[in-house]
Amino acid sequence: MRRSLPLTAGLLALACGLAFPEARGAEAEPQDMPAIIPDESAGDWIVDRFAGNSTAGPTFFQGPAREVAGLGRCGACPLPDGRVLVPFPDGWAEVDAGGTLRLVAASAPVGGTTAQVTASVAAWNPADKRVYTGGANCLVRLVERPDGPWEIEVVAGTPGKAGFADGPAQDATFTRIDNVIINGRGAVFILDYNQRIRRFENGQVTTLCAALRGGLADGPLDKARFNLIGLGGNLCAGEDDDTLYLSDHWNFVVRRIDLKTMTVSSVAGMPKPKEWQPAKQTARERRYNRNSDGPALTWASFNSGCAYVCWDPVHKALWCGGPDENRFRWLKGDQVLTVIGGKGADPWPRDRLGVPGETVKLVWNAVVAVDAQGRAYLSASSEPNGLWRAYNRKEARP
Amino acid sequence: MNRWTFIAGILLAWAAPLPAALPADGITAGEEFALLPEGPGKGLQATPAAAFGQGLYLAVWREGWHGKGGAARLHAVRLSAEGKRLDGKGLEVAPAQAGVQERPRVAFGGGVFLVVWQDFRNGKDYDILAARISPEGKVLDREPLAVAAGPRNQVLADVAGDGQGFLVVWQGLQGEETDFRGFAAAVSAEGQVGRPVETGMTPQPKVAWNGSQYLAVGGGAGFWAGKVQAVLLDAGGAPRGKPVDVMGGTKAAVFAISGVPGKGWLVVSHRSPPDPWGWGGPGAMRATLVNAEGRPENTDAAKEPSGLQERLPGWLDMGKAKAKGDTWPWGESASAFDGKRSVVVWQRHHLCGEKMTNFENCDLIAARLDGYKSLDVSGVPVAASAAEEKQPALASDGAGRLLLVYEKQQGDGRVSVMGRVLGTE
Repeated sequence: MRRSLPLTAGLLALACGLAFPEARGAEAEPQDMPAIIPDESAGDWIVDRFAGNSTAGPTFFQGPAREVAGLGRCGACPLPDGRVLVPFPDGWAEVDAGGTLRLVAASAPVGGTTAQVTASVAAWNPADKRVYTGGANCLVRLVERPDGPWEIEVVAGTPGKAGFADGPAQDATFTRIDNVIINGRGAVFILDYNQRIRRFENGQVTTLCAALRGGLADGPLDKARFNLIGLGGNLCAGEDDDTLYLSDHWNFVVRRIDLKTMTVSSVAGMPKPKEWQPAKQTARERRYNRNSDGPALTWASFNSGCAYVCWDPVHKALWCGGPDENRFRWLKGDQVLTVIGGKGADPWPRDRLGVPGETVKLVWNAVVAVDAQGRAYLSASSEPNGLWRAYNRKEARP
Repeated sequence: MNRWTFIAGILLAWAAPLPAALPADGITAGEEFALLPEGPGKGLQATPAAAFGQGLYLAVWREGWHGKGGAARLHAVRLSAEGKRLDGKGLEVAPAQAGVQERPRVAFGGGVFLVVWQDFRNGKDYDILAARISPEGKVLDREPLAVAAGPRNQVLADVAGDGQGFLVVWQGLQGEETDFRGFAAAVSAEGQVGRPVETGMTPQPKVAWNGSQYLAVGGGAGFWAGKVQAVLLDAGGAPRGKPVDVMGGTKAAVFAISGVPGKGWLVVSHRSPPDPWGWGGPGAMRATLVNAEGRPENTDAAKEPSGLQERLPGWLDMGKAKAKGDTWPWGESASAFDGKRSVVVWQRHHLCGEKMTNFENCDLIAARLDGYKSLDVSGVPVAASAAEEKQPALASDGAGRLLLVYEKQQGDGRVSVMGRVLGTE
């Protein structure tokens, strides 16, 4: 069955192309489109429990990563040497190459993991080879110690002093650091309180955008408008050092920020249509708020907002989704396609290995990170204990 | 229901008789003291536990870092009934070359204290180990007793004493299974470890003796099914019946249990955490009295009325408003029988954050109970400084005096284990 999926997907794509001329560039408006359109790789994805155990309970303990407890809603930060850092509500843990999870810091991460779904809580900085993350009103980095908890160094801002002041690192203030993104040059981008995008580079903190709440407008960054709410926004790195993506939560749209041209564009999702009554809506408008696949800016939509974005450098695709979806989808080219989930045979993969991706059903989910092998780290707030890892069996090893 | 009926219902619920409040000095808290100032753990002390026997308390806790690269060890100190430390430098429970020792629990029986813990000595997974300590302060087992030392994680041990010996419970993984199971094993006062038997109580199993039998509780797995269950166990740990729901609707449940002689057991656990949508309803610290048949006396704890917004008789504390300065009970609690009634100590957090859904400045609050109903309706602060006081544990001398031990988290990252003697009217 699985072997025939690429063929099925191909036939489906062909059928879509025939049935929906828009998908192949014709002008006529199609009448309808399937809600789920599998990516051509959808049958090749396998999901393993990576860290945490569904039967272990909420009290944290360490050990073989699939036998630990208490990770809650957590993130992932793959390191270049193969280790994976796991920020969780009570601290930071490390999963080593042998699959053992150990606590490395007992100071809880601030910001990201408190959201319903999230990604990009922490980032590896290639410039100083440290992990950066958010502290209380400050940007911090983790410094490894061989025989004790890792030290947490303040890099910019002052713990306990909230604000949006720009300037030299020690004078700048932050309010709540939700996401930390670092590009190949070591520039740090911060989503601050879901209200501003800040940059920390060469010892200086600056504000790139301060209009993240209210409106929807593309164009020059200083005139663009976004509609983030208190929870759920997510900033991630993009295909190069000058591209960021933002899940514009309450606009239900993924936004792309080009830092070279300092412009913003919408790249996927469907904003709330003007016509609210279903009887008066077009078939396309009725897909609003229904996590539908398809052409990114016309037929694709997110459910309950656009909650997360996570760039996949191996597959050159952007994982993205809303908070109430139970599939994992990506934006590839100009299509939003289902990669993991959709068939719903399993309620969720629990603690097993080798679960076919199509059958996975993780609710309130997010792709929180992608490693150098293109393996995606999945979280699900409905089962708040840890992470799963998905890989394409034709490309990556478990 | 129309609006006026709804409002009348609220007013009636508000006016419903709660247990009569006794003077707040029904519980008195003595001076705070450090269990081991300048301990070897470099400012990291954690997860205290305590038991009472032969006229003195034994408190035990973790010293040092227990994560990667750590060498945490268990230390203990004896205290007089008045709270005077009898061991100036403390006792190291199980000196070892490698690994970390965590989450100690302690009970008294057959003339000795038994300390149980989870031990990461092989660097890969935990075993459950134990050691006896005499009332004279001597560690009786040079090599720890191996309660559960097989492959895979064996964790979260608890212990209770029946006066003659002990019953240890824990959760563990077997063979290639992916689901934890709950186990129990008897340990004699002479140090003989019995055969492990499956209890059905997992995760986070806890056990208590009420003067005539053991009850084990467990629960807290999953987002939707965080209920707490209980089952009676015989002296060897075998279940005497099927698990019974004793507390429902609990997310990420952690709980405390203690025996109530002649009545059963008291189980305490929190309710919903604060969330931006208010889906879970109000927060609470809840008590259930489980009777001698292993069933809850206050059945509304096991199956709460739907849409609940007001305080139930078994609620010791409540969190509802979400404004700066408001509080919310959540997390660890402890209970013990003081000779006349149960005493509970729990965590009460102050709310903070954009949505007032985060916690800061946790205090410890106490109340005496008549059955499952609080006699101190507002709760009595017993450790409420500007620092975070968390992770309470209680032991009672059975004559109106208790030892409260807890973590005190300093702002600079240091954590100390502190104690206070509580007195009850």
